[in-house]
Amino acid sequence: MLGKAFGQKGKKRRMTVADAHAPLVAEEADKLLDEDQVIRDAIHTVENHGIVFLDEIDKICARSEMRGGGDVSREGVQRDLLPLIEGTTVATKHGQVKTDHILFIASGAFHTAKPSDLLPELQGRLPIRVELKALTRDDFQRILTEPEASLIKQYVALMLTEGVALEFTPDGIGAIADVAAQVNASVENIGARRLQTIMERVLDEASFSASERGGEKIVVDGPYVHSRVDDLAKDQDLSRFIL
Amino acid sequence: MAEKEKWRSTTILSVRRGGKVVVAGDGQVTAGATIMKSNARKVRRIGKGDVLVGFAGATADAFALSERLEAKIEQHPGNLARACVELAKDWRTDRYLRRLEAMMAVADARTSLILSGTGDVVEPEDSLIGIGSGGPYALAAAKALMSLDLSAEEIRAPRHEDRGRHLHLHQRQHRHRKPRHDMSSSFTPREIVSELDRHIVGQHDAKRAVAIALRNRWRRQQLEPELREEVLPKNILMIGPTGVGKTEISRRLARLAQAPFIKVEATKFTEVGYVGRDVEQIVRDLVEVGIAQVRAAKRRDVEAQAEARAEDRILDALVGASSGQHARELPQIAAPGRTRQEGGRAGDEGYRRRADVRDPACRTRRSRWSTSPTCWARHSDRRARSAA
Repeated sequence: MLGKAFGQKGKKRRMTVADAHAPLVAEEADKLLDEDQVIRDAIHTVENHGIVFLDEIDKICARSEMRGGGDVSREGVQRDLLPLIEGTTVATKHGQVKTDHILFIASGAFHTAKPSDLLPELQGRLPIRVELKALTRDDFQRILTEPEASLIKQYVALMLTEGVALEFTPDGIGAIADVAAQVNASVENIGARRLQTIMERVLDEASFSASERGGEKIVVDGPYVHSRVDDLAKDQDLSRFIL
Repeated sequence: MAEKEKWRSTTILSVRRGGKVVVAGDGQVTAGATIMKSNARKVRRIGKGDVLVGFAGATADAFALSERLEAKIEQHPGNLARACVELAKDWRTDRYLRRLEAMMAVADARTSLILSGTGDVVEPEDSLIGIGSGGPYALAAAKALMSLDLSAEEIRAPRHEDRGRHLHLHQRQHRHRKPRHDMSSSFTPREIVSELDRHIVGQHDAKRAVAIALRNRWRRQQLEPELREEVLPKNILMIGPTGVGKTEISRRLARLAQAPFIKVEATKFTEVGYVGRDVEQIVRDLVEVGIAQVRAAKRRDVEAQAEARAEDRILDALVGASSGQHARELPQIAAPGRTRQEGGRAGDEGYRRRADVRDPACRTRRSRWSTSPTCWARHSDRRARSAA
């Protein structure tokens, strides 16, 4: 009997009156909306306020180092992107969309390629260039503590679900930051994600046994951190390569 | 100086002492037996300005060498020894590099190294480097002077009429930037930056750039229509190693933008005609995002109206479309003072009570709710009993 209240593609759904309220409101609202007007407005906002974030743009660079053949050049993609960024008209099923005023934000690591390896035309269309700095030890320390959902807070909350009070001392946090910075420098720089590996390693034992240790308190201080991860942080021996 | 040697004409000397390091070079360029030029710059800063290199040998090779070193330094910031070793490792595998006729003196605040065009990394004795044809002499002189109590700079100074650059480095102090916390009216650049500051540490420049770009959209909208058409967006290119927060900025930005926003991976696209998505799909997806946003906004506008209508439909279903006002109001069940006219909603107490009417007590399968007073009586009866 409520079936006819849910006319969507004729599909019947059973629910309580209380549950039925939300979908009914949505349906009624849709009936009140002028679909053409919605699309017209949407295209207008897209044309004037739309923002496109292009991640990993460095991956479509032709590599500067001649790496021999075999690799398909992604230059074509850059060429396709050109008109889009410069301003063109794209046909969508809702009508024509002009891209002149859409904001494009591109980002890339540019490890192997350089920004200057992009097509010159494309470079010209990304006039603002900001360089993000590699993270230092101090940054790691701040990342661990400052953000609203920082890693430390996440772990403390997770452990609390088992009734284990996890506490990080300042020198413990410092030690984690130290190790992360050191491993990043000596192995491979993966930035802030390194913190996650380190934290997981530091708390591995605690995470495993937390379920049986309800009510206990675990303090993570400098020595605790070092005892867990020092083998990770061992400096790669470079001296064997140096005369 | 114009010996017919492999490395002609150059003297590069690097001295480290008392926490300071100096790399100095002459400026002479020689072709055969002729001195072409005596003010060439053979010492440069690379990386972020914290690494000094001086080169000797064939110019093109020296540039190739320093360019590669620069790339390695970028990959291993703050670890010059590692960068040099990685460069040397490339040597063994890369055919192009095999024999570059150049040598480099490389120094940063901590390390001094000699890089040769044949793939050697040499850590010099006493951190003293002398390369080029004049290198050994300069090195000998510097060694002698080291025994005197001179600063690094003074030691390189007595060399012959030195026109080359000398640069010193100090251990760079890291500057702390406090996140700003002055909130102003909604979505000024400052506001956006401080909003981003809540989740992302540092990277102030990038935050500023995106904040300005966002604000510029708004500014453009305030312009005269003719001028508005002329103002093109200032697209941004963010460059930075992995894991420093580029993608994180975009994620947080999406929530702040209040505009159709889409994030795409450039790697997903291929040229038109190949397997993969073509770039115009970005715009099509963006339109879909825009439509969803506009629809949500419009829905909010008509929400009150839609709610009234939805409630009518529920009531029609419950008590029949033709029922009178009396049955619709349900005074005996609705919580006191919460009638539909007062905007009771799902989740509000009064409304939920009314919705509870549909409970097993009065339900017969596939039948309409009875509107007879007896049913209501029976219903409230059972309610009272089950409560007791």
